[in-house]
Amino acid sequence: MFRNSINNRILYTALLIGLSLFSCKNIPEKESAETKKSYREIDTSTVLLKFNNTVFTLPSPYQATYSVKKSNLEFKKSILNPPDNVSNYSTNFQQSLNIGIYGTDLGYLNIYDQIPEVISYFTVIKKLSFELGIQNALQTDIIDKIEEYIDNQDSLLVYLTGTYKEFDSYLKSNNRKEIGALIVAGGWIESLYILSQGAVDSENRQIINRIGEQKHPLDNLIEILSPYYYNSKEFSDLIDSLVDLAYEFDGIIYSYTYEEPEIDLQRKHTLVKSTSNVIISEYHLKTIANKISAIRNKIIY
Amino acid sequence: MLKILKHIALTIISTLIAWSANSQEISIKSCDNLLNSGFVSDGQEYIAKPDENNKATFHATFYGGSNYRVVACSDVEEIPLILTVYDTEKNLLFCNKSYDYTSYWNFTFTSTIDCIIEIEFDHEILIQNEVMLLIGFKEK
Repeated sequence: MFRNSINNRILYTALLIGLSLFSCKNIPEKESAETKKSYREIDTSTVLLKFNNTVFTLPSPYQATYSVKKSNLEFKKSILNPPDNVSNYSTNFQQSLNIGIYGTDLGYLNIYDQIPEVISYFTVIKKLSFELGIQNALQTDIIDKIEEYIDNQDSLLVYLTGTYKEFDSYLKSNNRKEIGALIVAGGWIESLYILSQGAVDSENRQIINRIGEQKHPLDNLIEILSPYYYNSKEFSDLIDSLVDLAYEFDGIIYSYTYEEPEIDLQRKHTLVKSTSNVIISEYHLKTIANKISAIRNKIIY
Repeated sequence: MLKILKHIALTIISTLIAWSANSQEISIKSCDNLLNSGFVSDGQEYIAKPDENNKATFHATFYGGSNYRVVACSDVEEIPLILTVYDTEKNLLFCNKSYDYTSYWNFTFTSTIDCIIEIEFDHEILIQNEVMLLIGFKEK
């Protein structure tokens, strides 16, 4: 009798939960109507349809710094942008590019466990975010977490990339996409600079290849920046210098062979077995290193 | 009889919970939650409006020797998203349609490869809502 009563209660509770879940999905008749409205059939008679449907992405600059560490290259503080330079950056253009540059430097410092330097670079990024008016993207809990995990390389990386994602999200939702594009540009320029310094010093094949692999990311970066070409002379100069750099990448030989990928359903994983190769001459390597160095020098001065 | 009813009730609930969880995981706001298991965001949120074929296209480079997670989201709960990854020669590397429209998939690349990622609303009617792509990486 008692057991039956418990069973009934379980059954009743279970049905109640089920019904409430079901009703939760059904309650917003209004929402559903709104959703319908939002993907209503578009009147194709109008020609003024504009889609922003192709997006160009860049690999995280932290991955480039990882490859430097993986290749057992020694840490070199002198290649980074010194935090003291921050006082030189007075325009939004300079501040945005340098917040990207300092972010990549911070990743490099983190990978090499340079804790005191990590603190000073993070302070500089906070300062620039205030000057750019994007400090709201830096939620207090992110700052607290970064300060708490300053000596934990993996956690710090998660919070650092989280910070840049917050910047990106904040800038996109506040219609300041050009600032976001410059931050991305600064991050990429610094990562190529760090790679090129490592490659010229060590002639390490892995690093040299990683430089050659920047052809498409560079093309993508130019695509990301090009809508702002006429924003200012600074913008057009930067894009022109990147286009000039892209010509050097045209001299690199690429080969690609497709192979059937291997799928592991249980791990929700695909092993992409296709192979690519990069052949880059010493001339092109040096020219790329010189050109990226010149572009960076104009930004950091 | 009671046992059968209990079984039916529990089946209904688990289905509803699974459905509810699935619809939550694909919203743009909660998309981030799928970048877990040690994957670190590349620091960007890639948002696009689909074209006249309900499709948004993303160009990405994946480094050889690295692990990635690719996540696709939208705020339209009722319509599944097709997530497809091609190389630049349009050889198919992955499509989630064969895997119950899963919102994310993991990849390991033997070599560095430039890819084209497409996210598409699987619906005949043109949808104006944005779609979001997130890319996470894992180096170790």
